[in-house]
Amino acid sequence: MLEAILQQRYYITAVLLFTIGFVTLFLHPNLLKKIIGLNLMDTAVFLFLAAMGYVEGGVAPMLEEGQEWTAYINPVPGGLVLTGIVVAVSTTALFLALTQRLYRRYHSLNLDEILILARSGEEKH
Amino acid sequence: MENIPFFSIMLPILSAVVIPFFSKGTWAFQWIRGVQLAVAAASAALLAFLCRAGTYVTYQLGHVPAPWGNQLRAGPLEAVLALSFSLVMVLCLTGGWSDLKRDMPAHRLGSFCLLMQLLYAALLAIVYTDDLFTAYVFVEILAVTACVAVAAKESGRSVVSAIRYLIFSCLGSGLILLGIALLYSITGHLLFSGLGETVAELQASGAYQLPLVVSALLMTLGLSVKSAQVPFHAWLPDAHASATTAASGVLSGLVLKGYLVILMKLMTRVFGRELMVSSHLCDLMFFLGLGGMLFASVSALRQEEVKRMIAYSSSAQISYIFLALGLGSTYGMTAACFQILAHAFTKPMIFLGAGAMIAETGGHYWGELRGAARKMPMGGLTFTVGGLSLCGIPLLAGFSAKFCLAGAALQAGWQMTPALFGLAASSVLNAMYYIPAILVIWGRHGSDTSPIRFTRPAHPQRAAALALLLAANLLLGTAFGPIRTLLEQGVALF
Repeated sequence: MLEAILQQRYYITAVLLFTIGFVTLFLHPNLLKKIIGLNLMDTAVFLFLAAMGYVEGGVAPMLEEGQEWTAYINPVPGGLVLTGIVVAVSTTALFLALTQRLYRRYHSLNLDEILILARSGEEKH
Repeated sequence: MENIPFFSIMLPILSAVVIPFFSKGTWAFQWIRGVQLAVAAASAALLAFLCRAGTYVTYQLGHVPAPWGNQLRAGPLEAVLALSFSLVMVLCLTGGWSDLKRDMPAHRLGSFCLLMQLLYAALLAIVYTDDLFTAYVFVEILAVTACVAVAAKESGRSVVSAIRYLIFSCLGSGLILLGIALLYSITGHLLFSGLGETVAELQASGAYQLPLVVSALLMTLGLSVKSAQVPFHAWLPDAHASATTAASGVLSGLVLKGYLVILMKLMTRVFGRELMVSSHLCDLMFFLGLGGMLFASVSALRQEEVKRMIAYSSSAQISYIFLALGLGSTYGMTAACFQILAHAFTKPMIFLGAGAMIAETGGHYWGELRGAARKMPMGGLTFTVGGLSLCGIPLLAGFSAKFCLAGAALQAGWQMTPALFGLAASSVLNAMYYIPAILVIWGRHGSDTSPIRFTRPAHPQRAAALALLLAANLLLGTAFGPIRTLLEQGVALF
């Protein structure tokens, strides 16, 4: 049992981090913490991917003259993580920009408060 | 011919990049419209070629061949989808342009065109791609552009709904990404063809059954959050109702369909229908669809605001597609494709018609829209025809889609009775909210006895776009046989 957990530690950490991030993004009313949750969730998937591509005792997948390695790390998950980081950065940027707009208008970062303010503003309008 | 998919993706992206150099919004508008029409023409040519040849083409991206490299794949179904998405995009922008000029400062119009062009490119890439990770990247591009399109109006409400949209969208993409990581770790492939073969082998050997089902479940859930399937639809009504008219039409008519196209690809090319049926994922989709058809329609009944009602009705129409996919048969797939086309042409028409009436009267609520169709007959007519189409009046697109779905349900096993019941009940519910709405807009305001005003339309482009959408709706309704044959051929080669 313990051995299995130790062997799978990266995957277990990744799933735990994913759950924490997911719940924060979904349930926490503070917009900044939601953004942190989003990043945590994405990072968890990157950890999952990176751990999956790692080969015990492998080296970076580059051919060097005169050197023969027996094992190389799988390069594809690394590529996927890079692409995923770009995607995560752009959604985070958009998220931050929208949060800033909302803060300027409603002076709050609490999404529940903002929703109430937006609704009451609409009725007055 | 096999170059057309690549160019239909690259052309919009490249044309979007040069938009900031245009000094006037109108030029940018004409430019993107021209590009979209060119892509539509190319897709039509591709469709004609593929139908005659009865085959599909692949296009290799880069120098690495198929099992490892990235590629595009186009069959008749992809060509039909690309053609209709392009046409709807052009008509939406043309019809919504007058509202856009009202909702947005003049110097921002060019940026909005850029945004729409990127959204359009992402849609086409999703339609044509044969690679799971490319699909994920373009799903994210689609989600980001759609969020910005909601926020583009810059009213407080639209920014709030954009951020809610973004939250749900991020939750959905997190689930999809985890599903992709899991699937890649089992199979070691990202290309749909390679994935499909490996999944079939795994299934035959009985290994990794649980991770396979979990990954399929994660991706199905993620895509249903993104396509606003009930019960994950909380973001949809505000987002679609607070956006500007053109954006509402595009979001409802096209963006939601992009995610469903990926779901269909996963179902047929990767997991295969047997796995989806045996792991009860099809049943899950069936019940999500059945619940959504009824629940979203009941919610639409209670809406006081016209655009919110239409948005809820979108969620109900998406549920039809889920129900059809949940049948897990080829007939169900064809019905889903027919519903995608019918809804893509109907919903923008309703949004544009409603937008025209809102622009004429200035009111967003039913009370303020009384008699609006008498002042704006073209908007009223399209709203009426669109509403009746969704209620399932024969000769209109909605009826053909429902007929196709009912035909598919009759071929199914135990799903037949609940599917037919859901279809009937949701048609009645659709009629319960669209028919009073139609009566309100054609009704007289108090003691007003003036006849219906038929003047020259103030915005001839909008009138033309509405007329073309109306014609497309009638075409989908009347040319039922040929279109279904075409879709069946497409599904067989999908």
